[in-house]
Amino acid sequence: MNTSNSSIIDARDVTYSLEVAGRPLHILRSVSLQVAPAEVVAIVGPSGSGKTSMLMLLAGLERATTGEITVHNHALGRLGEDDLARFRRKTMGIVFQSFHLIPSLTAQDNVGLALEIAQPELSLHEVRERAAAALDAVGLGKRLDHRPSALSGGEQQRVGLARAMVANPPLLLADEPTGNLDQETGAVVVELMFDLARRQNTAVVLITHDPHLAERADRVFTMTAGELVETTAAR
Amino acid sequence: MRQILAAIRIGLLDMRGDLRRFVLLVVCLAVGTALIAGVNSVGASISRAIETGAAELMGGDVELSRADRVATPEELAIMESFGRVADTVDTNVRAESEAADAFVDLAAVGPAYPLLGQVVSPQLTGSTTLAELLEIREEVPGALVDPLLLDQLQIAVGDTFSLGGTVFEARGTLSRIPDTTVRGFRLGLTALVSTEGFGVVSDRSSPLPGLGTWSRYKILLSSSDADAARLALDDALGNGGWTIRSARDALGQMVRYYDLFMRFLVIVGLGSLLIGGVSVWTGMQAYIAERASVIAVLRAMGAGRPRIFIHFFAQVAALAGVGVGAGLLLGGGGAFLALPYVGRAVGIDLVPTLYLQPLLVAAGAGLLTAFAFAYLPLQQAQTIRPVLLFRSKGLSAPPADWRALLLSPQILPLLLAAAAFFVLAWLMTGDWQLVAAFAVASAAAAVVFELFVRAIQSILRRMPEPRFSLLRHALRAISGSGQNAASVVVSAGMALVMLIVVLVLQANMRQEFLGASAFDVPTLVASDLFPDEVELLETLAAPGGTIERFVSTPMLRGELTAINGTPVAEVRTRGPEATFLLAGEVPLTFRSEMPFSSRLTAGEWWAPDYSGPGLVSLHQSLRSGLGVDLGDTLTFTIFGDPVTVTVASFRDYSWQGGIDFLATFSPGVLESYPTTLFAAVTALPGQEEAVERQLAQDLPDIRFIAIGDTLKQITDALAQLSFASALIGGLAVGNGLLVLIGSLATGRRQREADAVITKVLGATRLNLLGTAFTQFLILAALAAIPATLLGIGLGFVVSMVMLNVDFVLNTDVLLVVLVAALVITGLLGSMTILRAASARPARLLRDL
Repeated sequence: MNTSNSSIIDARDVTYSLEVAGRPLHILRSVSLQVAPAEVVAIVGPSGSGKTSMLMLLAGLERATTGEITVHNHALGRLGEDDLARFRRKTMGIVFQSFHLIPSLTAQDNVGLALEIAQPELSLHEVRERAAAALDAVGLGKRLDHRPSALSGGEQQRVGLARAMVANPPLLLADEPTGNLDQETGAVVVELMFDLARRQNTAVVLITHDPHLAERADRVFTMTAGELVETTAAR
Repeated sequence: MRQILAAIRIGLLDMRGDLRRFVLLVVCLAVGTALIAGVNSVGASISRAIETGAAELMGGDVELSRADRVATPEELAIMESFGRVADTVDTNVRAESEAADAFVDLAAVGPAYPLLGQVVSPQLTGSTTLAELLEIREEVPGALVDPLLLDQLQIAVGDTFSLGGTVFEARGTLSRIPDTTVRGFRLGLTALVSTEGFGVVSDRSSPLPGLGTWSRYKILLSSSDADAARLALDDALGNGGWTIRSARDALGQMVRYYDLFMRFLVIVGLGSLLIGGVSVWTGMQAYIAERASVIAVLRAMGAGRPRIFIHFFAQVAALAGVGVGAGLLLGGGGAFLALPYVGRAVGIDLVPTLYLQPLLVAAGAGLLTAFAFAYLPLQQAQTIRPVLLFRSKGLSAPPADWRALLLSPQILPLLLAAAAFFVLAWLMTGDWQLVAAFAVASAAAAVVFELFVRAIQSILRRMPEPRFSLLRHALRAISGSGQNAASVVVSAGMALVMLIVVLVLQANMRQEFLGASAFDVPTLVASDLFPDEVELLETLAAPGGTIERFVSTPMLRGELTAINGTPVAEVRTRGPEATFLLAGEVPLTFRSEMPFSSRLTAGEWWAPDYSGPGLVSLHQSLRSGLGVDLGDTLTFTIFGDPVTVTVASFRDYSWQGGIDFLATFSPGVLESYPTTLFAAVTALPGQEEAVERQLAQDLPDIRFIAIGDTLKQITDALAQLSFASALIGGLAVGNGLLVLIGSLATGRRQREADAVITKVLGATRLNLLGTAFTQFLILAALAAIPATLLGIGLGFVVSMVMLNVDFVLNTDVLLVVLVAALVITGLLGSMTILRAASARPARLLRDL
């Protein structure tokens, strides 16, 4: 199972195709990507180029048509649905463009929920304490009991970030995390994300349209028509 | 364990926010559970009362009765060898005082009466015994009388009055006699005398044609086996024409009405379970669809399927707990409060009591319903994939894969729930075949609806699109909405089936309960009138007067002497009507038209102009009572002549038909004999007393018997049963409406999204609401087609087979209800997008 001890992500010759109206639609074409622990990687590219599909494959939410993806020493193609769920809870946090907080839960419960799932051995007291600390780390220490509807977009995304990072995952996947935020708020959220990732030695795969945001990554890849090319040098 | 508790905690926390979305689900469960709890509690109470009190209700373990004579000393000796015997006589006589007269239900009792229970009278205090109050003092026997009889006769305790022409002294008022229930509904106000006193009554003939004098012997057995004793008594007495009943048999007519009522309740209870389940199903489906993004988030965070299941199962359990708890409170509490009134309606004392078993059955049924119907949506919830979070917010669970589910171990809980449900329903009904038939019918109905809507969707997709845009959009929404349209049609259809079945049954029950009294109950009746007296009555009944209707029927007396040529002395009779018919000279009549209070149960009524060989129509009880059938011959002796007639039909008429005749001849047989007339006068409403006074003044020689009031009491009692049925049926129908509303919640978010986008594109509110109204009107109409056929079919089968009542279809009411249901569905359906149609699109667009 262990294919590359030095990479947290090791994707080799990955293709991903769907059948649409009886015809194959090739979304990813022989994509390879290696990400080192604590490394920040950005993937940019036009809409429909396959960026989000790549992220979904890395999260184990879709299965590659061919090729092999290994994340944190787990060959995803060999894991069943429930194994993939267990893999996700231990390995990664995900930040969504649309936040996807649970509206009925407070900020603290939203964050605590991820911790409860990832580390079920924790007591409720510990869960709440650590959730509060995670929210404090993103500047929302005084908004613990607020529900998503009482938070601004930027605040919701910070809760989403705290939720993704609360279990100290080795990998953070972020899908357009600033896509629904204004530039200033987005900058604050991204700053926080990078800061947390650095402090927790978390590798980050960031999907973004924002070239300024991409510039802050260690390496940048460009996805075009399903083909991934490293463009770090072009910055 | 900690993980499970954590999942439950978050699941419960996730319910916060807009609790209104749960109201419908909880109310449906509560009403369904309440109906079951109430129905079972009432049933348990009636059963308990009968089981524990049957002997007391009858006044003994076994009762022997006959209408033609009292027991011979030999027969009495046989009875006494089985235990203590108390003899009674039931009859009707006329009571008179100087001021007034009245029609009396006379109970004459022997010295051993009552063997069980007590006669209640204010005068029976201290050391005074019943025998002392009723004894003959200075040649005047005593009587305890209904207080109303004292009022009617305008006398007081201590005064004398005549009963059947013999002077009695009113020694006290009668509050209650212990065997009231098995005496059935009696015509007239009750008077209690001793058999010794009854022995000196000079005129013991019944004043009405259908009423006789019944000698009853109640035995308190030395042994404990009433059934064995009954058989042994039957053997010992030979074929002597005795009707022998155990305590439970003796409830007779009451059992039929009580049984009818209980069966109706059971059907309504089962139906409520079903539609409550459908509401849980649609409600949970809609809820899971709304919570799809939450499920996807949980899955994205690494939550496994068990966690998702526990998360939502905790919610279902909490909602079911609240709904079932409220239902138990409503049903148990309602039954507790209603028992005395129900008891009054069915003629049994029902003490307000909370019965544990019915409540447990209701709770189990409610919880199982919630689980069984939520299980599939819960399974669907687990299949929601988090990948959708990256694409859109318009999430929904994929349709249930039945084939995969059936082949996986995940079907086991559902099978276990179904089995447990079956056991509970069996406990509730005591009839596994009924439960199985109900389950099969329900499943078949659901499949019919599902197939029907798929076929319609397929046809709609192939049809050319209509030019009228509103209709076009509505049809597109139906053919394109897939499972949503199917959900609405299946659940609305099931609710409509329930509604139609309840309506049909309610109409049939009403017909059964009130049918015989639905005709205008006469205010006064008189027998043995002469033609000139009838002519005078006819003039009094001329239009414009106070008499609404006057009917006269010829009557004469004759004796049945042979059946198919066999002398009746060799015939063994069964049942009170048969023994009455063989009791000597009995009232007979002839008619060309069948009385409208009768209904044929076998054979045919003769043509109005019939002039062939003599025919007779008999009360249906005589078929088994005399062992006769259609085509058999009966020979009567009338004025010394043998008259032989052929049995042409059997009729049923209500037991209150003491004014009807057991044997009615065809025209051309009895006309040549001198007859008197039996007359029934119906006063205009409110004019009863005026008519009574007028007749007493104009026809002083005729003794009219006021039976309207008595029959009204019976009608009122049955009206209470009918009302109770209507009330429970109404609750079930209301529950069906809630299910309908619940079903409309399915796909609401998608409709809202469509409406907002359409509005952005320029559609007016009227366009949007009109399209939604048309869409749901069509869906409801589609549901109504199979629902009407299924509902009427099931109503017919249940009426004829299970309830054994006549099938009546009130098409007017059915049509009104169907149209109302369609319009309500259309309106409610359009209401589901009201928010989207009314609010500014920008506000909602953000949520899409």
